[in-house]
Amino acid sequence: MDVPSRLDAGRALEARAPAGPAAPDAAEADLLARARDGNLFAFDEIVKRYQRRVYATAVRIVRRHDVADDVVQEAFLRAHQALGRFDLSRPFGPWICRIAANLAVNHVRSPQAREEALPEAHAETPVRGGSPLVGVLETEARTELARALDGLSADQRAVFVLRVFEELSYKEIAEALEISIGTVMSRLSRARERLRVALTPYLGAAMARRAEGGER
Amino acid sequence: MSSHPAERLSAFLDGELSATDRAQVESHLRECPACAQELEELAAVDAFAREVPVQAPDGYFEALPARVRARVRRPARIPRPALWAVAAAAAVMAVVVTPVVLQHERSVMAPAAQAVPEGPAPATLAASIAPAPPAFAQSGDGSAQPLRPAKSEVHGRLQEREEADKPAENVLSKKQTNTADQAFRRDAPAAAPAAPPPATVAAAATPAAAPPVPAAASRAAVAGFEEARTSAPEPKVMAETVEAQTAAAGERARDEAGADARKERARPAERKLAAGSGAFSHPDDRALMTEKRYEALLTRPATSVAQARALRDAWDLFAHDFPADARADEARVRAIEAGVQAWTLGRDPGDLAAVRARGLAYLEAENAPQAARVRAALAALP
Repeated sequence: MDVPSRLDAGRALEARAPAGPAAPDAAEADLLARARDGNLFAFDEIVKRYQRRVYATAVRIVRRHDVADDVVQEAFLRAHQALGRFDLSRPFGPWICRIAANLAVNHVRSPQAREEALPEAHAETPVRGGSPLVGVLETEARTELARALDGLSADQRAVFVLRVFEELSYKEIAEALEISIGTVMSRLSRARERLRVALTPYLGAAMARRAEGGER
Repeated sequence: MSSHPAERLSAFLDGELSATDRAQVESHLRECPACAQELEELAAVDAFAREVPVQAPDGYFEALPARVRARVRRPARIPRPALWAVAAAAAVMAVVVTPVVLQHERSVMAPAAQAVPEGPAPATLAASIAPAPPAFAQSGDGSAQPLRPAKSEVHGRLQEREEADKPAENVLSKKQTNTADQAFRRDAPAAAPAAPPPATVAAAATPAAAPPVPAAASRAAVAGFEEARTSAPEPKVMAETVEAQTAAAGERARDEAGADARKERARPAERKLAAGSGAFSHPDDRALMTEKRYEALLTRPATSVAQARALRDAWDLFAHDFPADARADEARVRAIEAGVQAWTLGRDPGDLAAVRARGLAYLEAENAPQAARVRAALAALP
């Protein structure tokens, strides 16, 4: 995942185009067309291309592997059923992630999900990555982040995930989750604020490191 | 100083504020270090969250595509060949019901057919026609119209193939006395050789002296069809079956190594079958066999290099065996697509060369109705 510096104040001023991956290549459009015509190999290929991304979206919202697994499968099934209505000139990734996010939120809202216990293990595993935080500090920070994410509502997580990881616009998020843009704005604001408060001790170190090390 | 923008900082970060709001926030940020700091921290939260990887259990992504495939419903487009198969199957059923007429013709057929004992026991016949699970025999009312047993015959066989698929190793290891039956079962795990081997069909047609189709078998066959009917409108019967097969195939694909091994084992049988296909003199038998082989290939998984190669070759073989068939062109195109798949999975230069050669040969042919599709498939190659 690309990690551009979010600390560049100027960047905040840019009217960002809804990012995500670039426009779909011709090969992907062809794959989708064939999948739509019933070619299972083509759809297989689509699943292989997007499964990690869809899973990440799901598990970040539902916070449990088993539930995320259900959501991912269901998302691909729905996408397959809806391929006939899908505009092949549009990128597939954001579309299926929106489907997954919607399913994930609905699942978490379901009575069945309420009865289920909280996740026993956090979805994010504290492994060494290319983080500016190192060692113990990093592990702590990740644990803290996981805890803070658990503390958010699924609705808040969904908005946060679609914005931060899928880089959808507020309008797109609103459509995906069938809520108003104002709701997107307030949920996202509250989610970020809670995470910020939880992570403050670590963010200072991270930002200092960034300031020293400059752009990654 | 204007009031702290608080809630708006997040939207400001995303560039989602109106021009007026943005200007206000900007001007505030210039005067308020606390808010500027908070903005930076909010941005750092995003960045930090992005850096934390998500991990799934080992092997999860290797298995997921097959699991999804097993649940995907095939669109209703497939039934065209299915209807055709139904007609062909009806013809074959007619053959079974009126064996006397055809006995004569059979006697000049494949050596395999001649090897079959003259009067196979009704039980054998029943098994070869409709080895329906007990559940089938109990469902359905058996009040079928003439066409139905024929359809269910196809259904029954596919069911058998599925059954044979699951405990493949057991089936293979079991000593069976009926060689014809065994030959059929041995082919089954491959999912490719769609057609029954000559001996089985011949056996069904041979017994001039045998009683009409054993009632139990016929009822079971009808029941099988009835069950299929309850879950789908008539033209979808094959699609449903194919789906079930796909599900089975998906399950199989989990054990890729095992599946590959089976595939490799099955290849010689497949070739033998193809070679033997010439022995069929009756067009209906041939049609049914062609159809079954085609259907089986359609649902055959290709999630590993070996599978994709095997599928590529199997489609080639199909096109080679039935050059005049309406589906030969589709088979050629699918051979190319499977070739692309083989290359995509393994990046083997040999596969690349092979698929290029196939693709070019197809495109250079005078009659290349699906040239666009082939070009698109080839476009995925370097």
